[in-house]
Amino acid sequence: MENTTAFDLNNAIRRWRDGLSQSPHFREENLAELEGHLRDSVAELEGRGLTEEEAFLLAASRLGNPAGLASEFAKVNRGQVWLNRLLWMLVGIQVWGLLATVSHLAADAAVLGGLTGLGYRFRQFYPLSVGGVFAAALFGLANLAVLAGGVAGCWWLMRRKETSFHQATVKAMQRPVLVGLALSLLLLVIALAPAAQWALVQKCYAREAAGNIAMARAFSGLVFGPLQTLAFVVLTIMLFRRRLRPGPAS
Amino acid sequence: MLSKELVAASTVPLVLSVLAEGESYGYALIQRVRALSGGRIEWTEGMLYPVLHWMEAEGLIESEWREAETGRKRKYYRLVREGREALQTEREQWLTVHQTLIKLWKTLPHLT
Repeated sequence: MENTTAFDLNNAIRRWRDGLSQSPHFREENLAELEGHLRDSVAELEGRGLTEEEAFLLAASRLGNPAGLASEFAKVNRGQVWLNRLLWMLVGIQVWGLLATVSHLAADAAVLGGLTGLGYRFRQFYPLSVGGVFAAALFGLANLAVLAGGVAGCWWLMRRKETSFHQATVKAMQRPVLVGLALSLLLLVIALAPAAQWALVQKCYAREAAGNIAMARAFSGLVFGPLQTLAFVVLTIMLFRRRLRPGPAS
Repeated sequence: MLSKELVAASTVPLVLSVLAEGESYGYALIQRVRALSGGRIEWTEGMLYPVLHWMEAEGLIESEWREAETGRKRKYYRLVREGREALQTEREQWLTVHQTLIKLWKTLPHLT
């Protein structure tokens, strides 16, 4: 196959460095030092008559494969690796908070709208009425379904490499601090939404009905909680088994 | 070609010895060792840097980023007192192994 695009050394080196920077095991300083080495090596090989492209390929392979390098650097950059993990845990908590808030809002709105549309008026809750128990269970299940749907949707979008969601996520992964800050701001704004939703409920329903809705919503935790725990256990086992499966030989 | 285990064991004494000649940087260190060994000591080049960083953390060497003659910045390493002492210890240990092997091999003439 004929090579139609001219080889650009700086471009190739940037792509090579970007590849390494995907791993949390390198500090910026390490990458600068390795890049310096690569450039020295390329210059010397070119001096021996290799083309720029050949020199780059040989120099990069002499430096070692990225996975092997990452694992060696990980040994000397332990503190950095843990800092990075901590950073991602914090980002993860924020993502979870955001997803949970949004899905709760959506599920509550759907159940309220649906039941009201069917003519249920939330007139009684105590003593435990069939309708009250049903409403509580419905809130719990709907919350779980929307949350699980949201997680599955994000997962599905992530897995499809051609989506812009995937590309945006990969790009964002390189800037955890910025992502964390943006998520914090978003959480701050969205924290107002549940309060607004319940203010709306107070306005739209009779006082007693609004109280019963709040009660059904509170009791929904009895359904939501255990199911959420179960989902976490299943997910953990699935991820753990996946991790134990041997990866493709490199 | 050296075995993987021997490469791993000899990296620190080799680095200490090259730096005892004067300060140097990663790429030049590798070139020096390759030339002296006639190409028989071949490192996966990138693997040298974690070793250098570990040696620095151990207080055997120190480093400094400086502008090189190419105009780019380069990280230079130099030996400090603890490194010189470590080199002395390494030298004694490697010579012990070397001399013992030589004595044994003298009595085994079929080994050439």
